[in-house]
Amino acid sequence: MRDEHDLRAFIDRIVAAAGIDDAADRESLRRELLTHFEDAGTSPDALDAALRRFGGERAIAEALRQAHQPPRPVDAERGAWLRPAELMQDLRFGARMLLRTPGFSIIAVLCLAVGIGATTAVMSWIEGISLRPYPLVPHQERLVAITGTTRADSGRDDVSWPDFLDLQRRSTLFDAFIAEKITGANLNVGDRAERLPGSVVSANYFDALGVRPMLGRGFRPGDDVGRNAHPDVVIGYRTWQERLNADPNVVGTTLMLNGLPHTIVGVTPEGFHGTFVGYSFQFWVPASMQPQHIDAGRYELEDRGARWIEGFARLKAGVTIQQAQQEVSAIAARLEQEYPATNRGRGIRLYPLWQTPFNGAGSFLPTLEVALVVVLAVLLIACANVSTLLLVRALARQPEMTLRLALGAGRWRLVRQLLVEGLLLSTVATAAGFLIAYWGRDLLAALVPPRGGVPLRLPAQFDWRVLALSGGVGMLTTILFALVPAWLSSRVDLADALRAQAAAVVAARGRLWIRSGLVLLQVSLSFVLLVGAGLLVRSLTHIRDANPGFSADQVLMTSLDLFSAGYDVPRAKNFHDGLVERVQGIGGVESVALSRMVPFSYRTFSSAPIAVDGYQSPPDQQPAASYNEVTPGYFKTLGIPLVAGRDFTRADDETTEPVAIVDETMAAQYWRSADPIDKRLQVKGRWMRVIGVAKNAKYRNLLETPQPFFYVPLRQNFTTQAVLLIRSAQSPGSLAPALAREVHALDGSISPGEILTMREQVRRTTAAQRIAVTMLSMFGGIALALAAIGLYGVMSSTVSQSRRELAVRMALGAGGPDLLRLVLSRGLLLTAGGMVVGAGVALGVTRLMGYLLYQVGPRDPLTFGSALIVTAICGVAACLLPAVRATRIDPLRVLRS
Amino acid sequence: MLAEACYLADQGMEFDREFLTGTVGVLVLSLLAERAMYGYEILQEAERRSAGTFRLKEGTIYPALHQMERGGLLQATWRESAEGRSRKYYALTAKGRRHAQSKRRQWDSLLAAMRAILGDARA
Repeated sequence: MRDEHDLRAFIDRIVAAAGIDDAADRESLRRELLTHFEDAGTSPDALDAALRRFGGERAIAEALRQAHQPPRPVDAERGAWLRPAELMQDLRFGARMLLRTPGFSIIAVLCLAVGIGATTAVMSWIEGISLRPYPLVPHQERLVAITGTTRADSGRDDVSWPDFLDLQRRSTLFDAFIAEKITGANLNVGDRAERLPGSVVSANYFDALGVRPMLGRGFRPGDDVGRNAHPDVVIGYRTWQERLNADPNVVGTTLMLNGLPHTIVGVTPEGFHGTFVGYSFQFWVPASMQPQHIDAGRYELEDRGARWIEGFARLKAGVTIQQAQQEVSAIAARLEQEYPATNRGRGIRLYPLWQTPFNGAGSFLPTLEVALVVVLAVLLIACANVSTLLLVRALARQPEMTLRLALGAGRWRLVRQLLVEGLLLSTVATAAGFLIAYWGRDLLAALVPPRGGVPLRLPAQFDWRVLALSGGVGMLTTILFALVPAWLSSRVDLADALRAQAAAVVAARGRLWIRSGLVLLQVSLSFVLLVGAGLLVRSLTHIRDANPGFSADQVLMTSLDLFSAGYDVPRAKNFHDGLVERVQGIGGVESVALSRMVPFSYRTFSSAPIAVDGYQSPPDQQPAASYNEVTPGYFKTLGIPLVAGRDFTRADDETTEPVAIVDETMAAQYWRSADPIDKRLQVKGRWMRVIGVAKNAKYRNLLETPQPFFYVPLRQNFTTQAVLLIRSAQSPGSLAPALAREVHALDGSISPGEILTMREQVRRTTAAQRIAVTMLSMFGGIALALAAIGLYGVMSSTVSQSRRELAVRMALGAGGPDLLRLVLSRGLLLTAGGMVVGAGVALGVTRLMGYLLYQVGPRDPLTFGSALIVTAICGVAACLLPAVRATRIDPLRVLRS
Repeated sequence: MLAEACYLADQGMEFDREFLTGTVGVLVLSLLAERAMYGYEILQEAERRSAGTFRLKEGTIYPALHQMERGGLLQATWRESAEGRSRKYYALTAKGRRHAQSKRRQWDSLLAAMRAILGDARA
């Protein structure tokens, strides 16, 4: 028999064992239990019975202890997300589910892998070409590109060596300035000659970049002073490996470059390719060797008007590009005052590496931007597609979900399970995507033709940043898209779900809306890609048919390197005369000419400050114009009409009065309405008489705006490095043997270089457009196919879920064509919606492509119309099969079931 | 935990433990949806309404109530009852009310489903 004393002791033990921290809570529990027993009855018998019913002391204390644990959300499964054991359980279950439906899993992984792979590839190109283009160079974020500017035409120019030295001396915010200029040289080792890309650099080049040659040394201070004074060369790792047999004692030996012996002073480490995006340099010579490698024979290190340097600078730590720009602008302004003859109207501009205007970084930037937009669109489409697949599968798994909910599983638990499955899918797809990107890493370079026989190097850079970013984007989008079906699947109305009639249509209506939305997204994005592809295709067609101002067809060009062959000026002049005469005699050749430069080559035309009789320029501007040195017959050979005056003749040589032919733009700018013929033009202090006006032509690319340009006779400004131009209906292949024969007849040691048509020369400047077309067409096609599959899926489900409605319509007299029309109209409504949204987006986005478009507006109605038709056809094709299936419904069977 | 901490008098019938999963939570929340009650009162009311089928193990109702209180479903206050005794009354919070409704709907669905299935089986 127990008494009140026993009861109080019993309660005290429970309260103590419950381990409640708060004294007030303990007291409250004690009082609560006491009142409980008082309610149950206070007589000894009643107390005995109540204590028996109350249950085991230890069990209750433990239950109370658990109840008073620090609060966890009631939906405590949220916390379970982070518990490794439960996560592993979900992962195992998810893996089993994915393996159980291999078809679904493979399609989903393939879709996502294409999206993630394409995104990773483009990001790795952006990293390798724009952001960190120079492997082995530390702190690239502090490197900036330097160019000159001209106030008169807001154009870009190079920097002269004296200006470069002044920048170096007068600035305070830079660790170093680095001068360089791309060049090429014939390397002769044994009996094999090879054209190698290389660079003329300031002596501090390797030190300032922080790259140590793996053998020997870089250049010493002072190596960049004095005409051809330091014939030293640092060679690239590949050349050392392949041409010099990886000879460890190569330093100190001699190498013939452009026919001149150079002493090898160092070998760069593997992985260093120089500082010109697009090429892997194989040699570097100090700036003192400029006359030997650039502008054949002209010493330009003391000429402030000779601008040839494409430079870089390394900012001091903590200095912003804006601060640095202010400083160099101030220095440029002082140079302008000090050297008005050469620097009037000239400035200096800094660019971040990714905008470097003089190498592949700048020229590929628009292409990479477009490519990034394209692949992100493809990734979104792929995710939307997988999301619709997940929704379809969730529908099939509805009974499983319903049962688990009914058995007490929380909604969060189901969402979590489906999310884990999404995570698994995205992990596998990300890995597969990385593999795809790795395999496709050289694709970009493969799309661009080699220049001068040298393949381009447009590397993909797979570093942790690229993998983290693209992997993160891929997984995040996948999981976000997996969330939609996961959330919808958990929103099950159990009452409906367990009702046999409704079991198949759980939340079906809501889900159909979501799926329709996803298809809308896919159709609209594919539409945008199609429009982009269409615009670029139209641009390329225009480019192919464009008139560059000269006759690109039936004109062949080839180079002859007399400079490397050791020709002096008198010998070269004789060779040129003989060559023109001999080639003129080849059957089918209409005309022949030589010129220092050909239009649309990478090298920039010479540009010089000019003065024109009677023309007063604004006080802060220095008129300048680009020019070319040509032989008589140049205009005829290239098909550039002369609109006034006469062509050059053989009589216009070094012994006669200097003459020039100007183009229409120059005539209009400097002589306005007056006739420029017989007027005077001063170039670099030398007066020349204008003898003719030529029609405008394009000189650098098809997109340029007309700039003043003039021509001078090659004989009056001679160079041994000239290009041979031939007008002939023959193909390069058929002309080559005869040409080689004639060249060899003059000098057996000289061979003509690659023979190209001018059309090919023009085409090569459109690499950016062609890459963009390839990408947009390829991905636009994939996107459209994915969207069509998505549309097909939605329409199939719609038909399946509307069987009863369709059956009723049939029973009420609707015929097959009526149902066909009904289903098709629903699908096409969805397609039309996608096209409207897509057209809206495309109108905004295609403006980004301005740089890549040629003679096509970003809102070209023909392109939009074509994309509309193609998308509509795909829409009809995707809806047709479900629509036909709708007409074959047996109304009796459906209604009876 | 709620289910495990409770006990049902079998009234001569063995209940499979699986059947009981989730029932106590519904039971307590449903009773409190009508009015605030104290622990002993909840036991009495459950037993009375189920005609003796639900006889909860008395001691374990308190851990269940405390857990729901800490989970924000219930709010407890000490106040005097009609006969002048001080007791700890439990009432549903807004969250508890939503939770009760949700549990109630789920239970109804399950019940309907079970009835439909059992009915079919008999037929």
